[in-house]
Amino acid sequence: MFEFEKSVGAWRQQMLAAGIKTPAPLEELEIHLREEIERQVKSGLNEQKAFEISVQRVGQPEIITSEFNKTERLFMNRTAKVGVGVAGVLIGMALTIPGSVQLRDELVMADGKFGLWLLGGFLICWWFALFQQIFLPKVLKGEFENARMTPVKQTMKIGAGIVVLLIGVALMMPAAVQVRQEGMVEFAGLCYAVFGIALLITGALVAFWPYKKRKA
Amino acid sequence: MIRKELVAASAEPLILSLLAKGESYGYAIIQEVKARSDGKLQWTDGMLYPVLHRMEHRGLIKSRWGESDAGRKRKYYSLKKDGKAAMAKHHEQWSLVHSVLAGLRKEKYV
Repeated sequence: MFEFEKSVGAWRQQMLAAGIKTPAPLEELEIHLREEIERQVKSGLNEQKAFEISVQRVGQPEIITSEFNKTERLFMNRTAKVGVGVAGVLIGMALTIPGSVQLRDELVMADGKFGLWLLGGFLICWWFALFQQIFLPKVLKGEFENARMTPVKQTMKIGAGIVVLLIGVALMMPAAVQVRQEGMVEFAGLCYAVFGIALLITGALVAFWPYKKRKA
Repeated sequence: MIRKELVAASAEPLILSLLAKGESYGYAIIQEVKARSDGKLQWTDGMLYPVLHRMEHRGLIKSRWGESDAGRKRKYYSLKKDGKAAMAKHHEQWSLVHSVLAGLRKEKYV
């Protein structure tokens, strides 16, 4: 004697054994299976035959599960990328701090701190490259397309942009200090500040704009 | 019967185009594709759901749990803004392939 609910339960167990990890897809598949069985029964088949045909139509548990796992992997890869990126920026910041402090205090970077500073800078820039790859396509909503740079090239581009950006900030500083202390700025300072702003914009564009306009 | 590779390649544009008509659920999507292709375009039913989930992860479609008129639980899918853009791109590309093929066929029989 065919027991419908018991057979559906056994089918569920097969799907779970094949490795479906989350309950939502399994529930969706079961709803689908029940609808198909209902349709088959309405067309004149008995419950057992309808169940057998419907299970066959839904497909083999292992193949379906492997397809679902691909989706899970895509999601996990992205999460891992973000995790690695955040770790990268934290380590990068930690590596740049000793060199930066020494530069501020002694105006030099010695004892291998410059090497660490460069490595830290690279890690921070690499995080920006990951950030651009993951999040900017969503923000820009398809109006622009990725320039398809390799991660290393993109990191170098961001690094170069940040260096230009820092030079821009350095050029603006004397004018900003003068304004704060004296309430005015000399012509030479103003010229440097304008050049600094231009460099700031250029640096920001080079560093953070990874896209080129889509061709018509 | 249509080749497996072509069935797989056409799944996303077909789903997007069907959802452009309004929200739908897995079973109805499969039935509609079957009906529109006179049963020549046959998906393994269960394989539709990983595709739907992948499209949802990519932000092309969204889903909500609801109930049918008979009170059966169902997961309804609908198109998102990015999905509309992806559909337009698919249409453009498939039209291009179609026009190239049609042109070549015409030349052959002229």
